[in-house]
Amino acid sequence: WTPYLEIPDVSVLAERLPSVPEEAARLRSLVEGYEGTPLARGQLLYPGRQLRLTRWPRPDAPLVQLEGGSAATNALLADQCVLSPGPIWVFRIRDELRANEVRGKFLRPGEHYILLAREALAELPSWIAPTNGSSMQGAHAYSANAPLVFNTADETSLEALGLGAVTDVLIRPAALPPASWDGEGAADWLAGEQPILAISSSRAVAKGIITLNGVPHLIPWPASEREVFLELSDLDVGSHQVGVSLFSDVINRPVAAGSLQIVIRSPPVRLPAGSFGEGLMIMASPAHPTLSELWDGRAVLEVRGPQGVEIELEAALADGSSRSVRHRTNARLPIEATQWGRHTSELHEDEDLLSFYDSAESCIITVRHPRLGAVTLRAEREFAPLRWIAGRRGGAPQLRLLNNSESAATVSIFEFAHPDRQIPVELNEVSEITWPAGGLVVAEAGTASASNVLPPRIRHPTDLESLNVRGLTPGPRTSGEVRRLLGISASWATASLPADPFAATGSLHVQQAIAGHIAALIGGGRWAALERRASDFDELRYSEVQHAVGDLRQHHVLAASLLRDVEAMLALTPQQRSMRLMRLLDTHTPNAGHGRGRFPLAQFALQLASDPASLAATSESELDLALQLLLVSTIVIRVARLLVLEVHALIEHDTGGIYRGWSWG
Amino acid sequence: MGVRRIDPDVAMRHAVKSLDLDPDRFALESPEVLAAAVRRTASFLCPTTPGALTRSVSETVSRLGGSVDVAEDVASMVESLASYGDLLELAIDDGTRTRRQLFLGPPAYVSVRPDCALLVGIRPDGAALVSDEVLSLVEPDRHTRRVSLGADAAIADLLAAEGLIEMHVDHWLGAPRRTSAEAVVQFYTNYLEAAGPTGPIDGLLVIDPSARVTYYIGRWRPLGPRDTGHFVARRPQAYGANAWCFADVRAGEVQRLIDLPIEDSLARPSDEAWRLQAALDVRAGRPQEFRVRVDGATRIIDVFSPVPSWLRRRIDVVGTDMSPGMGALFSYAVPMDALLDEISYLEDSMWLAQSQGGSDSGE
Repeated sequence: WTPYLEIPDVSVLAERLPSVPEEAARLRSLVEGYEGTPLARGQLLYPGRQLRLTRWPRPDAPLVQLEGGSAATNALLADQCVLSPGPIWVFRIRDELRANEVRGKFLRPGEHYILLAREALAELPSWIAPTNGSSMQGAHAYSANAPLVFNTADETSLEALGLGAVTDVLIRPAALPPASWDGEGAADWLAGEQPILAISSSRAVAKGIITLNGVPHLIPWPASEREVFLELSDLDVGSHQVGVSLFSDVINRPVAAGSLQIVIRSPPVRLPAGSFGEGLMIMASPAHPTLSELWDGRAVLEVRGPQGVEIELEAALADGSSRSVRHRTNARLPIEATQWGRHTSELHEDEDLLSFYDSAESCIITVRHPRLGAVTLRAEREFAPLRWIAGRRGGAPQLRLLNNSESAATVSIFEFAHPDRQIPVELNEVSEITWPAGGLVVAEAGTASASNVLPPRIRHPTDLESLNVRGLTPGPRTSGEVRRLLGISASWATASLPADPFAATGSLHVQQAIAGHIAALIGGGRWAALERRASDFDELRYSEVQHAVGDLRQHHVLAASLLRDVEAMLALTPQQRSMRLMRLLDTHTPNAGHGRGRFPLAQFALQLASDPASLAATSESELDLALQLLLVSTIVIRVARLLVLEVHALIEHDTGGIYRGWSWG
Repeated sequence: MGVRRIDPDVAMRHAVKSLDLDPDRFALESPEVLAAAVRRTASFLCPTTPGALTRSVSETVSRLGGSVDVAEDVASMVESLASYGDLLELAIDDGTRTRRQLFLGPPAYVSVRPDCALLVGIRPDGAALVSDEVLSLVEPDRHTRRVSLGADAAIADLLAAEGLIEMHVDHWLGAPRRTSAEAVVQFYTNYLEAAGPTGPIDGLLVIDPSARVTYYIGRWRPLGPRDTGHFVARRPQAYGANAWCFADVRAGEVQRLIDLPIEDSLARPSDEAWRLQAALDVRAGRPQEFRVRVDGATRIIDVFSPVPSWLRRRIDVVGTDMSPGMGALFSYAVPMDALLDEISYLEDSMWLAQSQGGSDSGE
């Protein structure tokens, strides 16, 4: 048996607490007990997502958190997204595939259960025994095959375990199937529906007292009936508790009692992108991507559906009027998030889309199959007080500023050659700028800003040199300087890209140069020399690389082990490679200090070495802690950078990150 | 907020009405109400297994006002809806293994005539397939839902405005290309011969090619030591229902085995298995059979072996499901003027032979 956790859909909070779904849309989430990579941005906005737990959640850890989320949102999630209280959890086996949790923690004669207990259980009745071959960290699993009749000893044992027995009463939804029913003590209906319950008993019953949220109602029970039906009306959205006490004619205390928890919930908002119950589903990260996020590859899509089935994938750009341009291609299901970059590249190669993109207001992605139907995802261009519109004038790339703010705008450019050197510029009378060398153009007006990468004018092959980075302003070897470089990297990474592919190339060069510069700054003189000499390490001798990683023999062994492992790491996600790197560091340099603190330093170093901008959401305190550790334990950044460049060199196709194989999602 | 005791009859009427059906026309146990209950439950429960869906519906509908256990009828309705396309049986990889589960069919319509369409599909979370306005035009009939308008009405526009996609009738039927039984056997044999060797498989059941073709249940048996040849079979799995497969057997031992479906990854495994068995039976000179009976102005076709869902869907268009006739596994009524086409379709698509005893082809 393997526990699965259905994670909450926080989109239902959009009206009452809009900040929660907003943060969930743009941040990754961490789920206690789930040891895969953090869930991609926006994954808490889909109802019904189930995760396989590899470890039973710890009682003192929040069940769901947002990585880098605000304290208020994470406190709310910690408070509201909780397991039912332990230390024992009861799961009733419904069929060969599924056992549902019985939140009321009671057992019924003749039924089969799985019990999970925080601590090993002692003095159990004979019908409760440890399960075979099922074990997991953090919990002990038991199988309980309840006897057809509970004797006093059974009931005492259950009571000692903190569990209950229900013997003579059955409360179930009747007539209209509920939205969910755990088979025992909890059922959900949708707002506006009137639940009908059937109550049956094996005892002779004369009357019943039904409490609804603590308010008692006396219900007559005809002598001839074994089952009566109750209609519950006007239940508000929320949780309601129904208690049932049945009385005979002769005994003045209940002969049977039970309870049912009812939840009335609003119907979820239906998404044209599909749901887990449908044959096709598009999932986006972040959840509601903008047009530019989708176009620039900062948003990735995942298409779920039956393995190997060929679907039609259509991207349609539309402007404010009725003009649209479409691109269609075929693909096989499922499309993983890691494969989406290929489709983005394909869109960038479509001349019609390219020329239409800058005037487009929306993009609709449609996945279609003649038998599975069609699902769509719409990405709108975000409204912005300032917006750059790319175009060409006289063959030269240009940007036009649309200023919807009430303030005058100031504009500056950072050329590719010197990406951290700001040059103030003036727009012409129609708010346009052309700049032969191209670069990052930033407009600011009041608190608003907009940035766009302007491609250089290419008239001759030698003009391509303007895309190369000649240098970054030197700075001290301090965490403050690294943070300055992270900020620059983030500015380039978040700037909108026009359809012109030279803009993307230039931006990529800048971000790679910043990653190399940071590695050189932290890694020290010899590593800096290596970074300067080679853009990738293929042309360097093996001994040179080993030597640059560190002076000590253990450093050479570490480098050799890493290079041996690289092939095997190609198929892993960046997060999984972080775990491997951590293990290698622990094995070969256990005293280097990288294990200190709670921050996962290996992953941090790999992000810094492969995509510094991906750390933009990291809190200042964590950033400082990690940078201080790296500045002391410099071996970590050197091996991280070595791993990044090796993977980049060995993977042929991947456009998701600034280095191949390093898209952090 | 209130609680009141109600009579079983009131509860039944409440249930039927809540499922958007008329309690004066449809009883709780009627196929139309069961179909609506399955659709509603599936809208919340999918992806799920047929067993879990059946149990969830049965638990709420059964015993309402009596001792009638509708579990068998519900199971049969789940099967009908999966054949019809309201539910889709798909193989999905959940990261640990590939499992076949039921999913919601896409909300769609299939035009069967310019003025008539079949509605298929289920929207998630209990949402209605069509608005109240169009709902009044929907005529439920067992597991099907039909919308008919006047001859000149634009039914496609009406249903497209409801957000339903048009599913071409050929895509909806999903019938395989017509070919000879020999070609079908050869197609699967090629795959089987290309498969790697298989170890022993406990609990494998095969369709006995020598057993009487008119008694399907009686054809299933375990392998015997003298069995040699190619068999349609089912093998146990660690989780879920037994998997349909095609096995190469020598002296009672499985040598090679391929899981179905092979030809169409969206097909139900049983569909390919049943068609393949029909082809094997033809090659063995013992084709599966059907019979035609007369019932007033209609003709009833009795089939003695299971038919794939694409054939069931065709019947949903041209005929009407009936209670199985004597000894038959499946029966349906067709109008007199469609009989010859239907006979020809059964003979061409599944290579069935008309049994001679007591038949009347209407000729």
